[in-house]
Amino acid sequence: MRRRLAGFRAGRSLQPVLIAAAALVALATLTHSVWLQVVACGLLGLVASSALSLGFGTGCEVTLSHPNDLVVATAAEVCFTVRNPGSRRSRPLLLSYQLVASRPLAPTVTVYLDSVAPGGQVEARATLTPLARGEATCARWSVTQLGAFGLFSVKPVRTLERRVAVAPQPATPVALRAPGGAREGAGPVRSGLDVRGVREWRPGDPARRVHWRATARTGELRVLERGEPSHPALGVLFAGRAGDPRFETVLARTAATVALALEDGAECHAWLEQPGAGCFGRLTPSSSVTPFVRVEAAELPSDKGISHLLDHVGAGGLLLLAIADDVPQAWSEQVRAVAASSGLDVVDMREFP
Amino acid sequence: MTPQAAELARQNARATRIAFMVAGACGEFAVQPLAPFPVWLAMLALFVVVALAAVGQPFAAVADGTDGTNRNRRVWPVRQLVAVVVIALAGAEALTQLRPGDVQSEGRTLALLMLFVQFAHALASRTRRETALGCGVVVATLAVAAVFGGDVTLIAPMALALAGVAVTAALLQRGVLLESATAVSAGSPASVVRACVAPLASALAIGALIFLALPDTSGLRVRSSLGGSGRLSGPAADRGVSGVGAVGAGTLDLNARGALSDAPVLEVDASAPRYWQGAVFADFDGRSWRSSRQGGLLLWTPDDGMLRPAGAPAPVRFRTDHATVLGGVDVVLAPGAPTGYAGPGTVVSDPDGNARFVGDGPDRNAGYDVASVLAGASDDALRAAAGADVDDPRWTAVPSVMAPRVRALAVQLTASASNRFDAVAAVEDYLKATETYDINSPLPRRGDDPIDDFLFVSHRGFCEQFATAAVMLLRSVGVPARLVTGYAFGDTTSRPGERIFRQRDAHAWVQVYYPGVGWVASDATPSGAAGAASSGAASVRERIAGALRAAWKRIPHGRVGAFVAVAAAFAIGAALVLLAGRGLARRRQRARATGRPDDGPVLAAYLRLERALAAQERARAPGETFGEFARRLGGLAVGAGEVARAMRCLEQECYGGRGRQPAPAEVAAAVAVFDRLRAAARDDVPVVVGNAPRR
Repeated sequence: MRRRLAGFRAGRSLQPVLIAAAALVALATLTHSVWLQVVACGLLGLVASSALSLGFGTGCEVTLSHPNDLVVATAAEVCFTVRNPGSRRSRPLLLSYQLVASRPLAPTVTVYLDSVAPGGQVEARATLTPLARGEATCARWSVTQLGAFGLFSVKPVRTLERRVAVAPQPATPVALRAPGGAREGAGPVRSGLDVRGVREWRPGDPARRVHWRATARTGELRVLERGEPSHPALGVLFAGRAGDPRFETVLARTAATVALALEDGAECHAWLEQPGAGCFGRLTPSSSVTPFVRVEAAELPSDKGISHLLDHVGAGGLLLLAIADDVPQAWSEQVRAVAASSGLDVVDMREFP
Repeated sequence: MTPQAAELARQNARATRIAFMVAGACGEFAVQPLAPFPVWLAMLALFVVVALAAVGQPFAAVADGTDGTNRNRRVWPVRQLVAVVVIALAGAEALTQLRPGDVQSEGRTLALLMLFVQFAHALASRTRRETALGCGVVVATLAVAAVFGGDVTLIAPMALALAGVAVTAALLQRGVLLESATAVSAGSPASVVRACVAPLASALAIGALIFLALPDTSGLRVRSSLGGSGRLSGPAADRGVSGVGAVGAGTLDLNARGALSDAPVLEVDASAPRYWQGAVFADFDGRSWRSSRQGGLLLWTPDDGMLRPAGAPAPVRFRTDHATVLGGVDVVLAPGAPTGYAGPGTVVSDPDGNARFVGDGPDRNAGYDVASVLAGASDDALRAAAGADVDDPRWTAVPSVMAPRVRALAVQLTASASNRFDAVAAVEDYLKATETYDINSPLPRRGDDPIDDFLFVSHRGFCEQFATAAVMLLRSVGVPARLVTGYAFGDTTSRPGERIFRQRDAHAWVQVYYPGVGWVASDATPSGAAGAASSGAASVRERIAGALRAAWKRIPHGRVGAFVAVAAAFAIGAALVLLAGRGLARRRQRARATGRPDDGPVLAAYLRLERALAAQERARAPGETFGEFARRLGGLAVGAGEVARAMRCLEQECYGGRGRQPAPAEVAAAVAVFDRLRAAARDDVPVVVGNAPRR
């Protein structure tokens, strides 16, 4: 009974109904009118009936399926499966699904279901479109059972302890050039497209570089040699606060660029200075999104962190600055100077449109 | 919002407005007895017309931005301004007619005000919140009707209005949820209304239980009397005379009411007089009547085949009637003052002529003959009555606590009367014309003068108040009068040739003494109320006819009245035509959906499926192609490919022309697919509903 009563809520209409009933009873006492009592009792009967309508065998079993990985502005599907094991039609149901995070990541999904026939099962699907990047610590969903006339409802809330990552919105990656080279415009998406020539295959050349036409012509494995090395090693520094639209854009662009570089075989490292501790990590194609999802309030990286990152990236690599607009220019100049002394080029991701 | 959800919300809004209209109209019916009939009719017609016109409109967003887009915009449309002006004008006009302290006037004023408020509200109502407010207005209207016009006739409009309010609340909430939900899987509003039926029935039962459990604040013993449905339906079912026991009980308290039922008391010949008296009351202390006990009781002894009061002079004019006892009686019921009795039991009488049985009265179905004094005379004879008046001062005594304005009123009423008969007629006419018969009239508070309350404050009462007021008014000007209780009219339709008095036929009336004639009965209670006591089909017809006649009389004469009546009739006619038009349109629409006899089998099966799906809000949306529709249906009960083939077959049958009709096997397959889908829709097979047709 206690479990059943948990989540029992009064609707907005209940208060005016009760006030009206009380006023009518008081008026009946003053005027000696029995019909006022009858009206008041009618209202009280509605209240009691609404409360009782939630009590008898109208419970439904609800299961939920929802995605774990989401992308900003990309629709995903949440599916509720409602089964009514009882012998009576269920009351109307309001099913809701919500990502729990430090800030709202996606609008709450609500599905209204008039009723489910006894023994019947209904699948209700709804679209979930995240609005912000981030990581939800859990997903909370509720099944609100509405009493007659909307005076009462029962709303048990369940929490799914499962992290849901919302990746940044898909963006156009930035064309990266080799260190020391001039950075001229955005250029094509993939770097190193200037073909220098065809040469023989050497161990370590990826299979997708094989130039099949030349191979067929010569009978030996030949590969296409590009004008630039395919990708330098990358390092990413974060500084900014989640929710800042400009910073989010920079993050999205950086994430796309890093993902592409990883796909092209580049080596990537990242340093994230969150309150309390810095965090260093090597990114892989499967985990490339993780730091971009977790950035909440990235502080300016410490000198130690920067030098640690530069050591791992090594000379000839590229340092990507995924930083917010309010980061002091002096700091970025300082980073540039340190990076240059280590033989790295710095790409400020804010500079791209 | 998806087109499907939008269509659902539109349907829901339409159902909500209809439910609200029903609730409002019932609220207006509840206050009908209070308001002037033409005004009521006009306001009802206007309300219905305005509400009907709004039925198809969706709800607008709330102006304060809680669920809409009009944030920070305070819009005052023309119709709202008109509504405010209407309410203000009605309020001002009603206030000018208000007489403070006069309950009748207050009731009329408030009823008029509520009628105008309801109409104005219907005129201006655009949003859900305003409709919810309208439900409050309906409840307030019911409260006004309950306070000032509380009557058994209130039950039907009250129950319907509360049901309408409840259904409106349910639909309002559903509308909010439909519009706020990301996805919906909904049935039709009709199914929601159907789902409200069981909770409404339980609400009725629970409400009745609460009513019985609540402390009785009204001073009425209605709880016990609600069980007797027949009693409640009779306007002359006076609870004032507390049953047979009260007829002979010797006291009659105006501040208490007894409970009466349909139980038969006495059966007499249908040609017998309609008034049978049981007790005469002489002393009134301002609150209750008492029978005289002066002089002790006189035992009736056998004399010439009957029991008669020993030593009493034989009456000059008397009549003898036969009566059969059907219920417990302890007084000798007779058309006049009884002078002889032949039947079971022993009889005693007091000096005022009240004859009662010693011990229990006759058994059920026992018959008795009773002789009674006949003191009747023509109006001229009563006008000319002269001689020595009755010398007992009790017949002209008034209580010392009686309000002076009662006497002043009596003097004013009888100022122009030159004889006793005219004075009695003047008092009777005044009471019948000025006061309202109301069986459920509120009882005066303890300590209040019931006659003063009846004549100057509430203006509502039943036979006890009428008879007591008449007696006090007459005594105030020196006319000897007394109150008599007994049974009146009875039921002449249950058994041919018989008049059956039931408990609910209990009545109180007046006897006035005319010199040389004796005590002559006079009934100050309005005849329309006291004359239709009998139940049965005939009396129901009479009551309906009487109600219609009374309604017709309430229409003021003259040009204005005729104009208002014609305008109201025109408005009602227009509303009926509008309703009929809607009904015809819907019928035509249904006929279109059902199909024509020359439709092909596939089209007929498709239309059947459409109808079944439409009942569940899953019909093909206006912008949805056959392909999308087929994809949406596929995968539930029938494969997507099968549905697509059936759709192609349908297109071929409809548009293929003579030479390209589908093969019989294809037709059979398509019909089977549609029928399977229809069966699935009826069985409420799982519905998959998302934001868009699933692909």
